[in-house]
Amino acid sequence: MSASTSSTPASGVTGQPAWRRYIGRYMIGMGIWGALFFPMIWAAYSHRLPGAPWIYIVTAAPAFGVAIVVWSMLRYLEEETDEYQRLLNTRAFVVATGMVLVLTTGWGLMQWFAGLPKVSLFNVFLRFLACQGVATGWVRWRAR
Amino acid sequence: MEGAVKNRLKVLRAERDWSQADLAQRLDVSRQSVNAIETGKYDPSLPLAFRIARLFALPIEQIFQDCDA
Repeated sequence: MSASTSSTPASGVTGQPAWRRYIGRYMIGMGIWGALFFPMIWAAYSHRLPGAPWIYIVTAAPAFGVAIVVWSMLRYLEEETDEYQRLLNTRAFVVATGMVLVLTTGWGLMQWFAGLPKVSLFNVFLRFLACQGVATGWVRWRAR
Repeated sequence: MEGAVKNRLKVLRAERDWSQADLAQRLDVSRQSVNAIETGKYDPSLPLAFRIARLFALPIEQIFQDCDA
């Protein structure tokens, strides 16, 4: 590993090539999720979903976009050469995952045993994204 | 979250009249990373410490000192 004198400025996380690739892949994953999710919801509410076995494939298809987003996170952690940025973003991913697990577990128990309203599982991905935003802000605030 | 290693990065950088951004570019890391190392919030890995030592043409122990030693 040699001391690099790359001409690419590394002035912050958004200037890092690995981060730019992550955002690109993330947007592709979100695009695939949206392109599969919204038509599926429209089809479901207008009673146009196919019969078995295709209904399982069509309704589960948006999860493919989620898989792309998760894969983009893994690739980012493998490709990021700035070890401090990798540490901060790993922290943010872990905190976001923890928040979703804690909130989902807590709500699930209260739903079963304390009569709280039922919450659908399919939008846990959106909850994770919200938690990721909060976690990233918190981690960056602590590191400032 | 304080590091267990002290370093002279800020002094060495000032001697060369480099900004944090200048040093970050030379090390191919973010400016935030340089700031975190300088302020002791983050201890660099051994490969990054060697890169820093090579950049300043100094032995690694003249830049980093073990606080527990």
